[in-house]
Amino acid sequence: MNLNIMGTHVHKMYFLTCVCLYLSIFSMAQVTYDKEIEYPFFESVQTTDQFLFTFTKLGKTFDQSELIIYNHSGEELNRITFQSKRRPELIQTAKMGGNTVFQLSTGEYVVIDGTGKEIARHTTISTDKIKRSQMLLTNSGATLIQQVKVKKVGVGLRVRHFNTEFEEQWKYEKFPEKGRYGYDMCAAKEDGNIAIIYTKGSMSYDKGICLLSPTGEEKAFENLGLKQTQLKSYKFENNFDGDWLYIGDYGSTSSETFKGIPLGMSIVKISSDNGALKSESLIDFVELQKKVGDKREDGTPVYSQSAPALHLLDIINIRGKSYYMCESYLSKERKYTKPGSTQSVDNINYYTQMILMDYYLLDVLNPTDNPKRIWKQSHNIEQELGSFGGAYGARQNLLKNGLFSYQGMHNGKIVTRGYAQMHNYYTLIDPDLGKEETENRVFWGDPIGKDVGVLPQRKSYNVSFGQTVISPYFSREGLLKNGDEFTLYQYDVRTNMLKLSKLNF
Amino acid sequence: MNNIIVTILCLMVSFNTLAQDVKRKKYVNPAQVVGVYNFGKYSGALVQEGARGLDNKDIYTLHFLDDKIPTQEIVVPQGSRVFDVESSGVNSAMIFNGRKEVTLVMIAPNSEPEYLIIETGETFSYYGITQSAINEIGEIVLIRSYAENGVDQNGRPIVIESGLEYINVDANGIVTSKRLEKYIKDKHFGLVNVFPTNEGMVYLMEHNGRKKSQYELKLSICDKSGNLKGEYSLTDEQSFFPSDIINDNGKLVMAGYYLNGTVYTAKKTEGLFVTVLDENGTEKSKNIFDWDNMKQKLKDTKRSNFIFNGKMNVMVEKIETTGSGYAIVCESYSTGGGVTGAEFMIGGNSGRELVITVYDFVLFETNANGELVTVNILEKDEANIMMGGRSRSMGAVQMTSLLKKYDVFPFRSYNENTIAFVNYKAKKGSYAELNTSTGVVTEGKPIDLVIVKEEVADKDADELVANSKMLTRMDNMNSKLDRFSAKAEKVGNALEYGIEKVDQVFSPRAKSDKGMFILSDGKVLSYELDQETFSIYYQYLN
Repeated sequence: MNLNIMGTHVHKMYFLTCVCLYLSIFSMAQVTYDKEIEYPFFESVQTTDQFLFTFTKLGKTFDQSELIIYNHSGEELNRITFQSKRRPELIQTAKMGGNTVFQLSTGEYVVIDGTGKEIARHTTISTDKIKRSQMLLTNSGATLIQQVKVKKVGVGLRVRHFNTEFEEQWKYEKFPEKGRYGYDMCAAKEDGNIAIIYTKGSMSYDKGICLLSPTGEEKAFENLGLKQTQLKSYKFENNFDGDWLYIGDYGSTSSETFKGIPLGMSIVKISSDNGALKSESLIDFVELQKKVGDKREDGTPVYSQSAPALHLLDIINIRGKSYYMCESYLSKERKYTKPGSTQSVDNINYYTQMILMDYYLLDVLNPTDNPKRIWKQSHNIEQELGSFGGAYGARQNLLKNGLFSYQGMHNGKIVTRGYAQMHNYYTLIDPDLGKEETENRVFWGDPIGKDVGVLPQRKSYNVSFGQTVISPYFSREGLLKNGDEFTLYQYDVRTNMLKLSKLNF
Repeated sequence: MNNIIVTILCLMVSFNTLAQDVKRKKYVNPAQVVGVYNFGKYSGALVQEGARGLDNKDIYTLHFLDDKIPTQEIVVPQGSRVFDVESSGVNSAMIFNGRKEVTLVMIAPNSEPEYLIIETGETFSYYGITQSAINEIGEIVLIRSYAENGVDQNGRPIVIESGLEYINVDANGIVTSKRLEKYIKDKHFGLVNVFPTNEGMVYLMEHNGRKKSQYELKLSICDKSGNLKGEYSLTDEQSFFPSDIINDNGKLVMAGYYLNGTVYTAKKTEGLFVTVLDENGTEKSKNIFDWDNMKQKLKDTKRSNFIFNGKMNVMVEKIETTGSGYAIVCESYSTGGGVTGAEFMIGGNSGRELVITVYDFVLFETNANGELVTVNILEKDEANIMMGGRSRSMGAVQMTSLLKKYDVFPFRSYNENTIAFVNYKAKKGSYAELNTSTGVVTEGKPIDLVIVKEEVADKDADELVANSKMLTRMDNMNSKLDRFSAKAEKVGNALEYGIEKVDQVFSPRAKSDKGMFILSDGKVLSYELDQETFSIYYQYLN
């Protein structure tokens, strides 16, 4: 607590205000904020194509949360309070039939129209013992994918579909004669077609695909027969060409330097007609470095034993050609020891560092040939994930908080964020140029930390008091993408103000 | 309450007066700043961004201290280090010494940097640049050692020849010529100073044979293409130490102090000299003014016994042409720290520290042949400059070159009877002007900036303190401690100055968190890097 800047008297506050006002004249900020909104408690701000919203703890309560909806200019449209024994949390949002649906931890589905008005609220209840479940929200309704255990039947898949009024339309179940079915990933098309990567038996490596039509008919239930079975997946979606795209990591480094990062990436394409495997491309990261990675003066690769891994973030189109947009990273563990409250025991904080590096564009038609690398300055995001933290979990957090460098495309250029000069910045990178132009950065916000001499520059996210892991939404600044538009947000923890700025590139 | 508000308003007004011209360049991490340099009409901070493994380059960004000029990206081979920046009214160049090559980056505001890579021939060893200079029309010379390698009769690698390489670059950043100057066995001349003129560079070469107490000094005069036109010896029965040379319509005019004998035999400085040469180095006139001779020319002799006593050295800061001849502005100085005059001349000071005390200005005027017309001692406060790093072991001639290049002495400029200088005191300074006719000194703005930093109140913390008597007491106590700490620091600084008496510290080519430049348009800019606010603050002093 910095007592230097705390005023206890009116005159001190007045004086500070005067100094702030006075100095604002001299501040050479690079981002001008269009809107400032007071938030005593801030958790996250997110965007849909209809509006911006925040979902935060309601002040001076322990069991209530508040959803505040704004239009994209930051004008408030509505605020709704939710109450439950355990404070309600937001699970996901999706567009459904012209409205936006909010799925809450209470089991409620709140339907909000384009003006921010609540038009319906639904609840789904399952009676069977649920091992695992996931709700897919699409324009055509909600589909609940469950791994259920039914007495005397076994463990298998159950799919229930609800229309946009949350009325159950159909139910699909699949139980094996022997063993069990589980699921790895599931996704839905806008038209209601469902795909589930299922796992068979106790070994989750044996994977197949289950395709269901919008009316719940089984179109396929096929073993995929993957070459690379030990896949740790992180992305499953319907591709631009109609196929299902299934992405995962394989292998793991054993080196102490770069701990637990994958050795390669598998890009699997599956036919949406019959579930047939169309292609399986294995990207070996060491091989990738040999092709386009850093080289020493003698031409040998800098990374020859363990190499930066890739995380596939998007599919982009450059002059009619599609590429998988990937970002490379390295991961390290950092231990920070600080004296404990007792003399004998020190506290050790474990940080999982994610050093975000370059972009790699892989040709969608042939991902292993002619990869294109785009250099950008590396930066380090470390999360206090405990001694069991790792790159896989850290990446999920980065995605949720919009902390990967890649933020989307704008007029054929890559909207990128990073750290430099100990501050956040954003910039546009021309893929044709193949590198970031460091002079074209736009800086914003407060300094990212105190380690001013550390390169690549690092920002730490710590657990807050009383918690054991960092909260799902921990970022206090970033970019929100809505179509071709980007909104920058910054939550000022001193003034409790959420600041918004529409970016004009 | 009214009193409080009035006080606040007064404070605001006073802040406004002090800080109204201080500008701020945000989003610069001082820990990454390699240096702040003069780029002619502007100055800028070079910031190290890191390596780019894609093509094995090091990336820097150049942040101009002017809001209207966009940041530039500088890309050099990996492992390159800034040697220096040369700047004239028409161009600026950053010189990087790399692992295998020299990179010259031509800098101009609002346009992309242009690169000149200077590689080394296959049979030559690579050396980085050790000296550089630029003239008023932007022509640059880069100087480095060279060594040509070969093999002996038995096939063993040997150095066939070594010496100095002079690389001449025009104002557009194109190499126009290279000249190799071979070292002469047993009589090694080293380059100690470069005097850039618009008609070519003049090099001051020194042979300092410590073992045999041999000392020679000579000028090598080159044309615009860098070809050697002539030489002129400065040591015979007397030794002449020029600290400024100008080319006045084909005449080379130089001035400095002289000794009887050499640095190994002389006991004191004898006086000043002005010599005029033709462009090939043929002497046209030589005028020496011993101290007695100078004293006679003085109207007011109260300082002359002190300044013209033979124990002082004199640095010629500027030779200016007048309608009838030349006006020569000098600064008198002596060395402290237990270094004798002779030791200072020879160099190799092994002591822990070297302090140079700079005294009065000496302004003398000559006719066109360099004959003395008037002498004037212009009093000012003395300043103690502590020499840091490698500079303290240098010989006087080389050190003089460095002191002038980096504007270490108080002198800044001379123009129409006005000498602009920095009045240093206790590591602070103010920009002052001295009227050479009246001797009156006008104090200007302090070169140390008055920075008012932004402090944003923490709403939650304020509320917490306001609701807690204990925290309020702690806050008050903290404010008292801050005030005490500020007073203690002030007393500490005064005590330190009382013991050290150091007004300014100079460490050549070291990064400095604060400094000032005279820009090519005559404006004086003072800057300060601030780690706390990740900013560079700067202010024009005139």
